[in-house]
Formats: sequence, structure tokens, C-alpha cells
Amino acid sequence: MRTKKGAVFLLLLLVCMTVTGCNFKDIDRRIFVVAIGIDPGKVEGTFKVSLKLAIPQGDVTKIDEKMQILTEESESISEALRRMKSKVEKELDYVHCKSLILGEQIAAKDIRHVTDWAVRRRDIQLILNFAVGRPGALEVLQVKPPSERIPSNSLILAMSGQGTESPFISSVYSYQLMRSIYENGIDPILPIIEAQGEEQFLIDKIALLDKKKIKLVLTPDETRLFNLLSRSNLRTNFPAHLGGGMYQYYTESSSSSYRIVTQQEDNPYIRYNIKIRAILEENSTEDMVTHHMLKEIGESGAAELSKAVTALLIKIRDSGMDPMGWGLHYGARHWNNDTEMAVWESLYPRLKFQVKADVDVKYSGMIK
Amino acid sequence: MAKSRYFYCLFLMNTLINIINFAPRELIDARFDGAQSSILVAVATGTLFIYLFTKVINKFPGQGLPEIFGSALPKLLAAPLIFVYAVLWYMAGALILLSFVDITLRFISPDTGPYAILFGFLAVVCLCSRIDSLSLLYGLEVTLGITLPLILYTTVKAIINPDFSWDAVLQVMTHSLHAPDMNSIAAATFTFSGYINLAVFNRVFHGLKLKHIWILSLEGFLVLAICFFVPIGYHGTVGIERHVYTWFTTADSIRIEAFLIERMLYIFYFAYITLSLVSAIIQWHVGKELLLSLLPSTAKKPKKKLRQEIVILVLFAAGALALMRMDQYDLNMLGVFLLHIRWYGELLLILLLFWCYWIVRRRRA
Repeated sequence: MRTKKGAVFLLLLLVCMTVTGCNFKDIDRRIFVVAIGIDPGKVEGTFKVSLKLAIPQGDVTKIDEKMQILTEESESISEALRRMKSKVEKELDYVHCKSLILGEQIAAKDIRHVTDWAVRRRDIQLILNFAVGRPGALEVLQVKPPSERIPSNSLILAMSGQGTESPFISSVYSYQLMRSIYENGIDPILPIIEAQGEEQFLIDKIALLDKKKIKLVLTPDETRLFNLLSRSNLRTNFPAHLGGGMYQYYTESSSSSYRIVTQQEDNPYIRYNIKIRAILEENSTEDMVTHHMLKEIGESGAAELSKAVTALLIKIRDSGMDPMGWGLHYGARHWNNDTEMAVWESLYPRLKFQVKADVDVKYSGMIK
Repeated sequence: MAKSRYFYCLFLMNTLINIINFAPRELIDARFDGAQSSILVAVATGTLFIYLFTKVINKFPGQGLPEIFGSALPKLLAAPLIFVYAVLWYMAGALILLSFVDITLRFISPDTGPYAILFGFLAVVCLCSRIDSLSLLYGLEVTLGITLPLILYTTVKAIINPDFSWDAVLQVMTHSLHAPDMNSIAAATFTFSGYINLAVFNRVFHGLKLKHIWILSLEGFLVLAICFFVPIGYHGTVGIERHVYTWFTTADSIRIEAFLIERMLYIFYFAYITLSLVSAIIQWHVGKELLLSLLPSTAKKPKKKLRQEIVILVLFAAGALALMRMDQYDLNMLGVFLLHIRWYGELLLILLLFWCYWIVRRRRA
């Protein structure tokens, strides 16, 4: 009785093994795609797809970066990827792909096709970083900084904030892009990566899109202010001018919040509240910093900051886009669901901004 | 004899398992037309059903559905009823398995054949559903001990993510003022239907004492709210309708910064595959026990019982294989259909039990 049961069980196990065994490929038969770049092809309406491949290596301490870039043009992304399978001897594996670079020309036309593809593919993560590549996606993929040891790692570290914590970089995951493409009352943004030669890239701008294509590119300074408004604890420095001197303060912690005030029909405005705790980092004068001066630096810094932020907000409003999601914020606080978006559309061009910055410079640094 | 806390385990299993497939999909489909009010209605009716069912089943300590029906109803009525309920339980388990085959193919191992995965699942589920009821409850408790922390971790991590869009959640909240929607109620009440497994498991409970029934409704409400709102916070009020397995894509959108694995998906998948296999085992166990009660008695004839069980489980497995022919949309339609039928089935079961109780008491008097 017992042996019979055991035999049945064993047989079942054996059957399972033969079924699963045939399709599995070991790691030495796979090659990992770490970044995908998509540019328009030579012929109108085609794509030029580039893949950056990482070649698995054994010993981590003696790693010498090995990578390969494949390029293929086709009228669809999937077709290009299938064709590339014939160019390598191993199976292409997308599970570890961390970034997707859209060529600037694609982003200037329509990003929705590529976004749909990246979200639909089951083996591509939803925490994939999207970015616009300048001048093209292939050029960005080809950049190989000397500090890089694992292929495409510099891009991954920079975009994810695990490495550098630059205040100019904002990362956009594919689920966020997908969300803001379809959501009413928020428009997508994408960071721009510029290739500067073979060994360096620069990520310090963001592009504002109108659900479909790039409409406006923010300057690095505006990008930093945008990041200050859209996330908390941005680590950066801001200037403050006092008398004839220039001071720079480092933001130890920052937070921002806003309220859309529409009580008066003819005078809708958004009130932004920015709170910063700061440390003095640079002083262009020879004066010793007193308690009184610290307060004054904070006040003049706050005034400069609120002026700059107001200018940015007006620029965003005049572009007609809504990268901050004010429309969604408005809709989320109004119960007239059928009409709220129409009301918002009519309010939006007339919006005014009140920016209240509160800069509290706590320390003068190591010296007075 | 099992302690009352195993009843809470059965309940908890069902609330957690409903996140994976049909409940969030139906609720999210109705997010602008009454899903929110349906959740409230479901919490009320779900709690009421639990209260009534446990009250009446307590009058039959140590008896399962077959014994109760057998003693109170004429055989001609009892047998078809038990058969229908057995099929319902079987379908519930089979749907969980099929959904998980689909999920495994999509998210974990696209290269493996679907039948290979299903065979693996079937082997585990068929072998384990033969285990006796009490041991299954112990196993369930251990499984919950392993998976519950992982599920809690996923949920907390999902909500504290700074990229979680609270505005999208609030926007959907402002759409709450709608009459409840039948599909959503059916989907949401499934959260509360863990109690129904007592139909067989009552054999090991002697005098179930339920304290603090409000904990069950609170827990069910929280799970429903999380399962409805969190995917919306990740994929937007409009974008969410494009996702098939909303909770798995949500787990895929969460990044763990400081851990060996970067993708939350794997942790979530591990927790849910364990839980759904146990859940399928329990559903099929109930289905199998109900069918066994229809076959000639096998008391003191273990060999004959084994043969009967094998026939039933082979039929179960064959049915699951046949159902594999359905595509994504067919599967969903069958799931929604089953959610409705199950709800009416629960209502009928409670009424039948009250009727049985009335018959038995009159006979005694």
C-alpha cells in the first residue's frame, strides 16, 4: 500500500520534471538587456531600436566592463527585437532592463506607442526609468563613463537616486508615465539625458509633455525648482543676496504644499507654501555671520526663491500643461464630478500664484 | 477538535485571497458608478451572513453539511443540493488555480508551458486535499503565519511610497455618491465568504465561540478599501482600467531599495502563490468531502474510500485541464458569473440551514 503510493507520487514528480525541463535556459545561455533606446528609423514611420547588452562575468573584483550595442530598424518595435535575436547567439533577456531612452525625435512626435509597448510587455518591469535622449537614444546608450564598471550602471545609479542625489534629476518610472498619460488633470514629464561625447552625459532638464509629445523644456534652474515643488527633502543650494554680498545656503530639509483657492470666481489662485531648513554654505564677503544676519539671509533667500518659483509657475501655466497635477488635485476636492473638469479648464488660464517661502537658516556652518 | 481561532484563519484566508483577481477588477470597473457604496453594503451584508451562519451552524456541533441535510431533509432533495454545492466549491478552487497559472505565465516564467505549471499545481492540490480537515486547518495557520507579514509589508510599502498618488484616490472618493452596483456587491461580499467553508469544517469545531464579530467586518472593510484604492493610487483613476491583474502590476511598481531583491513583485508572488494553493486545497477538500458523502458509505473500508477519492480528484483535475482552454476574457466572465452564483448560494445555504434547524427542533419537540 505505502510503496504503491510512493511510486505514484514519484511518477507524478518525474512527469512534472520532464515537462518543465525543456524550456528553461540557464544563465550562461542568456544575455541581459540593460537599456533600450528607441529612435525613429530612416524611413518615415519606422523605429530604430538599440539594445545595450551586459555580458555576465564571473569574478566581480576583476570586472572589466563588457558590453555590446545592437541596432535594428523596423516598422514595429517587436519586429526589430525579434530580428535582433538573429544577431546574438544567446537568448535576449529583458527582465533586468532598467532604462528606456526615447530619442528626442520620437518624444517630439508621440510617446504613447512606445509607452504602451513597454507596459504591455510582460517581462519588462514597471519600475523602468523612462527618459528622453538627446541628440538621440543611441548616442546616450553609447556613453561609457570611465567610472562605470557594470554596463549601463551609471545611468541606473544616476536615474534611481541610489548613486548621485542631484537636485536636477527627476526619475519617471513607466507606471508613472502611463498613469499621467491617461489621467485627467495631470500631464507627463520626462527627464532629458544629453550625451556629451563618448564618456559623459548630462541630466539636468525635464521636458513637459501634453500627453503625447514634448511641448516645453525647462532650464536646469527651473528643473531644480520643479523638483523642489514636486518632492520633499531636495538636497540643493539656493542663493541669497544681502547688501553687496552673495550667500549660498544648503537645504537640509525642504517641503512644499499647495492649496487651490477658488472662493472668488474672478480671482482663482494657488497658494504655495515652501518650508526650508538650511545651513549656510558659502559667503562671498569677509563679514562674520551674526544671528541677525542669519535671519536676514533667510529672508532675502526666501524672497528670491518665491520670485523664481512664481516665474516658473506662470511659465508652466502659460504653456497650458499641468505637470504638477493641479487639475487632479482640484477634481479630488470637488464633488461635482460631471462639471468639475470643465470648470477647471476655464479657471486654469486665469490662475494666479502666491508663493510663500519660508527659509530658516539654522547654522552658519563650521565658522561664523 | 479545533479552537475557534481557526475560524478566523479561514476568514482571513478568504479576505486576503480575493485581492488577486476578480474582486479588485469588478470594483475598479465600477469605480465611477458605485463601487464605494457597494463596499459598504458588502461589509454590512457580509457581517450579517457570518453572524447568521455561525449562529445556525452552532446548533449542529460537529456536523458538516451532509450530516445536517441527511438528518433533516428528504434524500431526494438533499443529494442534488449537496452536488450543486460541491460543484460550486470545486469551481472556486479551480478558478484560483487557473488564475494563478495565468499570473505565473505572465509575471514569473513566460518560457514555461502553461500545462507544466498547471500539472505542478494540480499535483500539490490533489495530494493535499486528501489530508483530514483538522490538519488542513493547522497547515492554514502556519501558512498565514508566513505569508501575512509579507502581505502586510507589501501593503505598507505600497502606501508610504512618495509616488503614490493620493489625489487619484481622493478623486475616486468624490465619485462615491452612487447607488451600489450588483457586480461590485457580489465581488466585495466574496471577501467575507470564508465562513462558508464551515459547511465541512464544522465537523471539527464543537461549539464555535465567536467573540468580537466587528473585528471581522473591520478587517474585511480594510482589505476591501486597500484592494480597491491602492491600485488606483499607482495607475491613476483612468489608467487603471487598462491593467489586467491590477494587484500584481501594483506590486511590480513598488521598488525595494535596500534588499537583495529589488522588485516587490517576487515577494508578493511568493506570498500569494502559497496562500492561493492552500486556499485551493481547502476549497477542493470541501468539494471532495461533499461528493464523498453522496457515494456509498466507506466506514471502516479505507481502500474503498481511497478509490473513491482518487476518482473524484482525477475528475477535478480533468475539469481544470478542460477549463484551460478559456482565454483571459472567458475566464473573467466565468469568474464574475461564479461570484454571483456563489452569493445566492450562500443566501440559500443559510436559509436551508435555518429550515433544517426548524425541522430538527420540531421533530425533537
